Amino acid sequence: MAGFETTAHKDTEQDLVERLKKGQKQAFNQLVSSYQERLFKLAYGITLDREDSVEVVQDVFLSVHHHIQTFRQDSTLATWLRRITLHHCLNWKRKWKRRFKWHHRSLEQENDFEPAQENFNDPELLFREKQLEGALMKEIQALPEKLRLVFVLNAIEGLSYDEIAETLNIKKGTVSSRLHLARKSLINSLELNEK
Amino acid sequence: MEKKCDVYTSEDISRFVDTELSSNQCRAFEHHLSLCSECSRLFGQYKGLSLAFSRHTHKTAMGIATLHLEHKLEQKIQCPEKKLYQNISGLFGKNLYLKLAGIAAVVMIGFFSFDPTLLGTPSGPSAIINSVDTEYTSVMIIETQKEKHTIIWFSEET
Amino acid sequence: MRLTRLNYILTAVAFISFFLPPVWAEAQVLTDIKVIHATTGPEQFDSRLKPILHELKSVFKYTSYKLLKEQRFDLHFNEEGWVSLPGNRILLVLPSETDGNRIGYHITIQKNNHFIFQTQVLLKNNSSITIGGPELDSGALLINISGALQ
Repeated sequence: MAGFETTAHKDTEQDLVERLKKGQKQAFNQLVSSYQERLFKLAYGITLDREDSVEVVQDVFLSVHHHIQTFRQDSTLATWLRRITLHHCLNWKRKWKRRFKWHHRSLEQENDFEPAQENFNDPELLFREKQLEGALMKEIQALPEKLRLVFVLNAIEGLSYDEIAETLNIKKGTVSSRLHLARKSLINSLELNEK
Repeated sequence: MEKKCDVYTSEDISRFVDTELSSNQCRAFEHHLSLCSECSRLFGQYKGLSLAFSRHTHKTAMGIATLHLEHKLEQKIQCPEKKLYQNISGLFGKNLYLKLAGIAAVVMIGFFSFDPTLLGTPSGPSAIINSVDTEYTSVMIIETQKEKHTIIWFSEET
Repeated sequence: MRLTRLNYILTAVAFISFFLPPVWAEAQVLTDIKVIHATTGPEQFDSRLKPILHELKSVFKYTSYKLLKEQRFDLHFNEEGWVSLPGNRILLVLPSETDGNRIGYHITIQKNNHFIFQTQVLLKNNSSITIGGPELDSGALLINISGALQ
């Protein structure tokens, strides 16, 4: 049954790509609705800015719309979209019009790190959760880019070490050590903050 | 915090969280977790990091206006086509003066693009630098005397 | 009657103008990239570097200019071309716009997948810019980028 589903999924993807290459508007709408949430999560994980992430995802879909003919299907559509998103995220931070904002962003600013409201009956628990999440996001922002990339691809996209290595063009051993370093660094920083 | 267990390193625990150990290693590690409080604690912390981050990102993603994004994309993709269509229909409209002006514009653009030297070769350097962005502190912009050839030189010393 | 004859003339002129170089068609930029190794070794230079050699010599102390590779792209606007460089580096070029008789380029250099240099320039049509100089084998790496509107 799993094999059948995999084949059906591949056929669906192939069909979508063919329709995209034909320029069908409905196909593009389908692509956007299917992938926007996933790509936003990835973009947000790297940029840690909601507004920037939305613009990045917009640029990614526009890029796909313009360059779909260059997609040779030697990887899955998801892998291709992920690579484009990473490329846009990394270049986004380096655009000089954004550089000032990135370097001069106050670490005290918590607007983007406000967790969405949930229906907790325990206000104390909710407050504690908010504190921990806020602290975690601050520490993730402070991680060096190389470590954060690997951490995001693992935590958000759920990629294996092999897949991360292929995406970032680094060795599998490097993925393991960077991910370990990222976790160790985050735990140490969070424990220091608690003290 | 230093890892105190003598059997496994913190990197082993990290790899176990991501199921990157072999099945034999996994089984041995699972057994070890039930006996070693230190490894068990670190395993929980590492696992918790990914879960908390994933959860926060998911909640943030739920808050974005997805319909707004689709509408924006539609506008950006459709807009250029509409403008082109309008230009063509305007060129062959009923207003004579509009027609004359349109023809004159097309002729002039075509003529000057065919022979750009009519506009005169712009003087100045071979390249005008609008901006430079680098992690290195030392950057020089040079223009040669004779041909005004532009050279950007940066040093990779940090 | 007069107006009808004028309409014919105007339509004919419009038709002829259509066959002039179509500026409204999708423009392309012929981008040429030369990767050069400059050293203070025995004097030598590649003949393909002749157009810029005098300019380079007027600025640099190097005596030898070796062309490591040359790559040509026919790029649309906002289409990226890339070239691998020695030392695990990549050069990315993207023509973005025209401004009079100049071509806007975004130029990026990455090393080990990490951004190290980026610039935005307005390059004169049929002219070039030279960017240097990461160290390479007791010399320097120079990259000459030229662009021509098609």
